[in-house]
Amino acid sequence: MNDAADINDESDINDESDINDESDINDESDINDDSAGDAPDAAARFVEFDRVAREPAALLPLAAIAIVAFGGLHLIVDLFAFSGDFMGQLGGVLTDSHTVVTGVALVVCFSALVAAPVPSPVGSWRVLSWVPALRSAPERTLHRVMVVLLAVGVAQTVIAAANAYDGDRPTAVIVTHDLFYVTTVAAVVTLLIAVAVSRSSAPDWSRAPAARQALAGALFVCPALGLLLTILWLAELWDFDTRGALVVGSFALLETVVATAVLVVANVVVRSAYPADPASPDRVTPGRSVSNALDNSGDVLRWMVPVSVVIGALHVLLAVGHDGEFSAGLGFVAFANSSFDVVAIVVGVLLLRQAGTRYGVPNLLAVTGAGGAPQLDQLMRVGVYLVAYLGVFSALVSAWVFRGDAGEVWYYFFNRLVRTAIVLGVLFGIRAIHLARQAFAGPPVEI
Amino acid sequence: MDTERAAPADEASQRESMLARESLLARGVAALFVIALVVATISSLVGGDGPYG
Repeated sequence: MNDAADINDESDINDESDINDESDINDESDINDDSAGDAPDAAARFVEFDRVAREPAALLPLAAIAIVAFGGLHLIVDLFAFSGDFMGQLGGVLTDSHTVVTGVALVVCFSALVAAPVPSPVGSWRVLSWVPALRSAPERTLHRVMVVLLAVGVAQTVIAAANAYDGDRPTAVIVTHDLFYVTTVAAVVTLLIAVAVSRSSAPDWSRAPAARQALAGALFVCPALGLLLTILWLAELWDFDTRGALVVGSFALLETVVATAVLVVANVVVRSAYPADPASPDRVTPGRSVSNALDNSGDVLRWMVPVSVVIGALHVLLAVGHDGEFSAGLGFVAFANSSFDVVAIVVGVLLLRQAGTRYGVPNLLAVTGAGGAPQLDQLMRVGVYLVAYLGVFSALVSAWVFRGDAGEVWYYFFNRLVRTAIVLGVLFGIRAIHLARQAFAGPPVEI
Repeated sequence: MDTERAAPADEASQRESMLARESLLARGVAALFVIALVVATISSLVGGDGPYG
């Protein structure tokens, strides 16, 4: 899928002729002490960024294409392969649409984020050339993406609440589930937009208070919804399928832990990116303060790894061969899907941790110490491929297990593929940000 | 002097090796995708009731 030999060809999307005029080298280069106000040094660092961060950044548009293609096919199957009442179909289509919109929003935001911190000697928002709307009006476009995401998410939740479904699961579980996902995704996208906007050459501070309040609220709402979802799942399934209840409950708990940690980091980052008083002369330069905030978030990210690994391992072990009520005889599918989900989360957490530290923070993994970063870098490269393999494998398994029912076969086939494309897009994005920061931070420091 | 020349050469060699390995991994993903597509096509054409009956 991501043929490395083609990487250089793919990266030609970053046509230098597409660069807009928003460059302000001195503003952007404040990310790092060494580069502040030093144009030749900024130019050298830009070349370094171009070398190391171009590969994953160039894969972002490919991920977006895959998300739209697989997501579109998924929606077509959703619309035409199943018969049912209008509201039920509408609920399904909105849920799947939210997944696709989320994927596109994340990839677009990561593209903006990767491009924004680049103190390019010739212009900023360079990597964004693949999205014309972002090139002409990046901030307005990002906020429009957010509005669409919220609109679809709210519609999905309202329709879910209106639908009693078929009585298999109570409406409370469905609505809590939708609220948890919609709120968490919105918070994450808010974070990405906030940081991307704060790093542009002409930051728009008008939405700063709203973003800060939204994320502060999400820090309480999302974990509460996640815990509620975990409890509801356990209560719903415990009596007739205890193991199934633990399978689903452990995954909800895993997502709650990860969402909480991500939101803690988001609050730290956004409070730095969006200062309470932008007009204050004491305000720290946005790029610089975001960088510091990411360094400080290492403490939070440190416990994400072991906790997510333990809960994830428990979840997968419980899912192995489970043929209970929840999985409806689909133990193998549940195992394949769970393995993909858990590995994706763990690789994502590791990447986030890698991006969130500057090697000055003591790392959990010994390989990330001085001189060890390349090993972790290679580990992460392999991790991304592992996620790709598991994602496609889960699509294969789903297609085979549902044989005989063409609608179900293609529905789950594209469902797994669109999820794989979204996760890969996020991993490419985190990795590109890490490489960009690494290029500007200089070599790892001795711990 | 030799060491200075050797370092970039070593780095380039490692990078070549890494790219070759990644190319192999990417081809593996592509091959698995083709297999999955074939399996999905066959699964949608064969008779049966599916796991839900």
